Amino acid sequence: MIRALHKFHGGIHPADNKSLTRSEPVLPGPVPPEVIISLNQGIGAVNRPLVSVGDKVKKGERLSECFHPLSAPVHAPCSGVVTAIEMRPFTHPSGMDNLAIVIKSESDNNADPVATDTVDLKQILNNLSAEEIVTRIRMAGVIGLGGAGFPTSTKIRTGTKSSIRTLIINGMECEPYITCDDRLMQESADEIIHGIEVIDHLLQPQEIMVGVEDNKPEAIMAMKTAAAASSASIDVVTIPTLYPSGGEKQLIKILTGREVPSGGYPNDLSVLSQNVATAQAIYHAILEQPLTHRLVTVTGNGIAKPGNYKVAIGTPIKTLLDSCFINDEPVEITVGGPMMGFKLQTADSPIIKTVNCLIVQKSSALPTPPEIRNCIRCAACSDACPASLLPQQLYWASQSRDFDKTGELHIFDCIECGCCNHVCPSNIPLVDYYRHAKGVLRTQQREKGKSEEARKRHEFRDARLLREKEEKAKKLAAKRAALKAKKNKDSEKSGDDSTKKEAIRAAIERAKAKKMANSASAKASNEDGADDDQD
Amino acid sequence: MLSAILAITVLASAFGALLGFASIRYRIEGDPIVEKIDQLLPQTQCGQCGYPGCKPYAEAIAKSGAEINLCPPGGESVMVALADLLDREPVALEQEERLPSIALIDEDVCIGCTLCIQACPVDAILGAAKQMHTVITSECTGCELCLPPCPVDCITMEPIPTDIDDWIWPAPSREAA
Repeated sequence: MIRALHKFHGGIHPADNKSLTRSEPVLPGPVPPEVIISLNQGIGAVNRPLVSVGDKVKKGERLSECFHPLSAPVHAPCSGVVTAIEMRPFTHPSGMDNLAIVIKSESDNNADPVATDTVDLKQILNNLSAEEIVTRIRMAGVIGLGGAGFPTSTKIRTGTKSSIRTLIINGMECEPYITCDDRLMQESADEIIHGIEVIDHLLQPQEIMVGVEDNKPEAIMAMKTAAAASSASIDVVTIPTLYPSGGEKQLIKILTGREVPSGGYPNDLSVLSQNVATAQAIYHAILEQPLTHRLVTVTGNGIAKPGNYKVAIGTPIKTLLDSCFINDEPVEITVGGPMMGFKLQTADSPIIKTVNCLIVQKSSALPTPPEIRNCIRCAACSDACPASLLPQQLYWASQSRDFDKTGELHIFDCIECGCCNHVCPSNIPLVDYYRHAKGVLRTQQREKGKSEEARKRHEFRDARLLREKEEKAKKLAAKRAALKAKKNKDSEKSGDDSTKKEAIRAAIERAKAKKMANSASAKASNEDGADDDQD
Repeated sequence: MLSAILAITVLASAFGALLGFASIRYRIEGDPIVEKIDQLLPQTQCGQCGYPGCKPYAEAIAKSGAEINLCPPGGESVMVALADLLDREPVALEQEERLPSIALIDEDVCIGCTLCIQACPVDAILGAAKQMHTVITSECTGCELCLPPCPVDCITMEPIPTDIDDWIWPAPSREAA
C-alpha cells in the first residue's frame, strides 16, 4: 500500500556523514574496569540508591528505586562491588556533577542473557495483566532512547488510559553522523517488531507505522521482512530524507497530516510514538532483562575505528574512546548529533541512557568558528523552522532579554533542532539564545510558584496569629468575668448573717416608717377632704 | 428651548442612574493594583524595604508612591517588572542584589528558645521549647529575620547550591560586532 505522506514546514538537508559508520556491524563495547551509574538518567527526580558501599551486585540487579513518575530505576550492567556512591561528572552540557553509584566490575561480564529465540512472547503477554506489563517496563528502567529520555512506562500508562489510534515507531534517525538506529534495525529487526507487538497488545491501536528515512534501504528491507513475519499488521513507511523529520511532532505530521497542538502532546491526537531502540528495550523488559546496554555511534575524524558499539550504560566515555583507538591528539567531543548535541565538558563522565552518538573531532581539523555578524532580517530561519515559529523575532526578544515576549512567541514549541542556526547567513547561534531564554522562563516560573507558596504561608501565619490573639482576648475576658462574678458572690457570702439581720431590721424599720407615714397622710387627707367639702 | 433642556435632563439622569447602578453592581473589593504589585514581589516577607512585609510595601508603592527599587531579594528583575506595570522610569537598586540563600541552624548550638520560630514570617522553622530547632529548607525564603533574635547566634545564611535542575544554558557571549 502506498501511503500518502504529508509535509511539515521548513526543514533542511545537511551533509549526512553517515557513511563513516553505517556499513560496519555493531561491535561489543569495552569491558570497563569501573562503571559510573548516574542516579538520574533522563528527566525527573534523582533516584534513591538501594545498595550501599561495599555491596556485591549482580549483572542486571536493580540499584535504585524512584517514586517520581518521570524517573526510572537504574541497573548494574555488570557484576561487581559498589565502591562509592558519590558526586561524579555527568554527561550534561553544564559539566556539573551528579550523584552516581560507582561499581568496580568483576570478570564474568560477558555472560549473555538467555537466548530469546525460544521465547513465546504471545504466551508471556497473555499471562500478564496490562498493569504487570507496564510495571515490568518501568522496573527495567526503560526510557525513551531517541534522546529525550522520557520514561516509557509513563508514556504507555497514559496511552492505556486514553484510546490510542495510531502507534508510530520512529526509525528516522535524521541527524547527521548517527547510525545506531540504522544498524539496530538491520541487525535486530525482529526484536524491534516484538517490542511493537508488546505495545500493540497493550494499546490495541488501529494502525501501526514504522517511519524510516529513505537513506537506509537495508534497514527498510530488514524491517519489512520482520514485519511481514509478525502477527500484528505493521506498515514500514519509507520517508524522503529531510532534517528534522525524525522529530516526534514532525514525524506525526508526515504520517498523519495532523499537528500536535502548541503545548500539547501526541496523546491529544490519539498518537503514541516510540523510538526503535526503545521498542527493543520494551521487548527485553518483558523478558525481564533490564536496560543496561545501548548502541552508541562513535564517529568523527578523531577516531581510528569509527563504528557502532554496544556499550554498558555507565561506561566512562574515556574508556569507550580508548577502546576505539582514539588518536593521540587533542579532540573535541560532541554528545549527540552535530545539530542538537552539546559539547562534552569532561571525558570522565559516563555513557547514560540517552547518549546515542559521540562525535570526536580533532581540534586541529576543526574549522575556526565563523564570525558572528548582525542579523540582516533575511528570514531564512523562518523558512527553515520546522515548528513554524518566528526564529528571528525570538532572537530579537531573547537578545534584548525580553523573555516574556519569547513566551508569547511560543518558544516552548521550539524543538532546538538547529535548522535556523544552519541557514543563518550571519552565523548567529540562535538556538543558544532560545535555550537560555527557555531556562530563564523555567526559573521564573519555578520562583513564581515558590513565592506564591511563601505568600500563602505568610497569610496563613498572619491569620493564625490574629486568631490566637482573639482567642486569648476572649479567654481573658471570660476569665475576668468569671473572677468578677466570683468576687461578688464572695462578698455576699462573707457578710452573710450580720448583713441579713441588718437588712431585715432595716426592712422592718422601713415598713414601720411607711405605716406611720401612711396613717398620718390618711388623717391629713381626710381633714383636707372635709375642708374641701366644706368649701 | 424647553424641550432641549428636558431632553438633556432626561439623558443626564438616565446615564447618571446607569453609572450609579454600575458602580454598585460591578464594585471591585480591594485595590487591584496592590494585588498586582504584590504578585510581582518575591514574598520573602523580609522587611528589607523598610515595610513590614511584601503586601505593606505593595500598598506603599500604590498609595504613597514609595520607590520601586527597595526590594533587594527581587533585585533588578522585580524593579523592571514594577516599572513596566506602573509605567514609571526604572531606577537603580537602593541596596545590593542578594544571592538566594537559606537559613541553616547549627543544631549542636541551638538551645531551643523558640525565638526564631516566632520571628519566621512563613513558619519555616520547626521545633519546640528546649528542643532542637531546624529549618524546613524548601519553605525558607531567606529573609534573615531569624538571625537577630537568636541569643546564641547559631543561625547562618547558606547560599543555595545550584544543581543540574537549576542550571540554565548560558547566554551566548560572542555578540555581533
